[in-house]
Amino acid sequence: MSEPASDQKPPVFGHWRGWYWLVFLVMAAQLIIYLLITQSFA
Amino acid sequence: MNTFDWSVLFGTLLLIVAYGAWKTRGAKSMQGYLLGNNTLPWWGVGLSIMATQASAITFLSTTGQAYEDGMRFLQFYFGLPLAMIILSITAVPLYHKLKVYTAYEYLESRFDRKTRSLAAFYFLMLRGLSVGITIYAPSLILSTILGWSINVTTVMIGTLVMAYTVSGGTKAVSITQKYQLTIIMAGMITAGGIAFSMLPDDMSFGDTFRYAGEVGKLNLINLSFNLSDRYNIWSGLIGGLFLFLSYFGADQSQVGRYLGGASITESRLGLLFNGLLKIPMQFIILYIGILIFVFYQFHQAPLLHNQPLMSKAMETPAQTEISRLSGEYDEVFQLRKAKAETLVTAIQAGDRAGIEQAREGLKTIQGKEAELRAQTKGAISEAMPGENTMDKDYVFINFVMTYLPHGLIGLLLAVVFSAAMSSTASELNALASTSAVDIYKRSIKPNESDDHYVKASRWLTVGWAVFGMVFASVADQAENLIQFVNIVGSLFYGTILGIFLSAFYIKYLKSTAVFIGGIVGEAIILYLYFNTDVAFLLYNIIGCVAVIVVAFLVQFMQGAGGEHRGEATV
Repeated sequence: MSEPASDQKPPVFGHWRGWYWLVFLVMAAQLIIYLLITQSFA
Repeated sequence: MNTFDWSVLFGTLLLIVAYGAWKTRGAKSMQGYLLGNNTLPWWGVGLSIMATQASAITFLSTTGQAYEDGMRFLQFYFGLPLAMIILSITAVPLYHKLKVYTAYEYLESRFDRKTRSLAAFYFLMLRGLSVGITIYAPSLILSTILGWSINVTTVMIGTLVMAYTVSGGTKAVSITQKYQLTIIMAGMITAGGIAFSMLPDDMSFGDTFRYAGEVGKLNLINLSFNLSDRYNIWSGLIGGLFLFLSYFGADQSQVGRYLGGASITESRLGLLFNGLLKIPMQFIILYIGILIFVFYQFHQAPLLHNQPLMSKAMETPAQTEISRLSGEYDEVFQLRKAKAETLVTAIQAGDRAGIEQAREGLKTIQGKEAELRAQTKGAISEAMPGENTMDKDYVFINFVMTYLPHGLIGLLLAVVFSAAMSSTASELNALASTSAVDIYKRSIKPNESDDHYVKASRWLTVGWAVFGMVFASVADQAENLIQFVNIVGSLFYGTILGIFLSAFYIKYLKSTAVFIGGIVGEAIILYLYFNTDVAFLLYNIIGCVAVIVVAFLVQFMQGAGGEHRGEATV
């Protein structure tokens, strides 16, 4: 069985990779911000 | 607590439960009862996943953790977004394509019945025992605070959850979780807002942040690699990744949430929604703990936050010693408050030398306070042997009971009950699905009607709910049992993850090899548990690697032929 066509093109991003990168980049951005906060009080 | 609080508490809980049960009444097919007819949108899936993971203890303990230890606990969650991405790519499309009711059903498509049954059995062991703890832990705290018997709080949580979970199945769980999570976040943010509003007038939100930073509470990221340190970024990224892959990919209490998604897209977006929001949500909850910490710099914190325990201790011979320590504690607080005000003034003036001086003074005073608390706990333990003097879990609830206005106290208690109910509901639903689909339907009564299996699922939900309540009632008398159950998750998760990773990614491995790997891997973990001091968080990785290595060895000895169903791999 194959996926319905609508499943292969989620809204907003043209491809799933867009969402995966968004989640990854938000995680990485938080890591950097929290690291800067930690180090500014070290 | 006054009548208004009781009305808010019971009104909120009963409204959510009644709405969930009414809205989803009369599910007649397995598809409807166990998958909610696959109608959940992505945000419903995401909220349900978050509500399942966030138990009452998450809110009570996490705020207390930040109060005592700062915000370093946040690092534990950095593996979660990565796990969400991996599962969206791999597990979600496989589960949807195979139209399974449970994660373990997939293992039969990939391997065979015995491997499916083994994984289902491990899951029932770990989740069956932990459902008791999910009910027990908040019941204990609420019974202590409200002065009720633990049996009352246990039965109250258990019965309310059972009512709508039995009636509406998966859909009732998801619908109620949506409202429960809304109440939880609204209540938590309100409590944080009230702590902030009671700070000195000239103190801005930014000042609370700088104050917390100066006294060492913003220890968010630790880059040093240290195996004995539970919270650093490496244990969060690596250990957390394994733990969350296992929890979200192979634990039916989570898999059941996204299997209810309307399509692969909705399920994937639900998981990614969780990946985006989980770390900020934990940050907010931890920061509420920090706001309470800053609040108690200017208002006197109790010597122990577990006030009912203090009251009991004052009726024992320890009373004289505790009164003496309380007197000293009052004097120390006045000194501490003066230093805290000096620190705030220095922060606002940007006076670095003043900040350093006030900070050093505060450190000395906080050391003295910690010493007085330790002496108080020692005096209580001596007078009342066996009493648990761990105070962290009572910080938030004691603040709520002492400083929040009436009405909000009821709302915040509804938060704790809602959190307990939302995770318990998912667990009961998952236990019922797994025992109905993977054990009862597959191995006991395979040829009955859909209606028969829906009825069986309902009775199994009742059975697991009663088991959870009985466990919670007897757990009070068995401290060792609780300690054991707290690590039960780690005893089985690694092995289950090893079986699923073999199924998803390693086509070379076949059923018998993975089945033997699953048994040997679990035996290794149990051996380590009973005979060594290996930190139990490492069991997740060791168990997983052991299953795969043993399966490879067995497969190599068997040769690559036979019993292959590799089309169900990623």
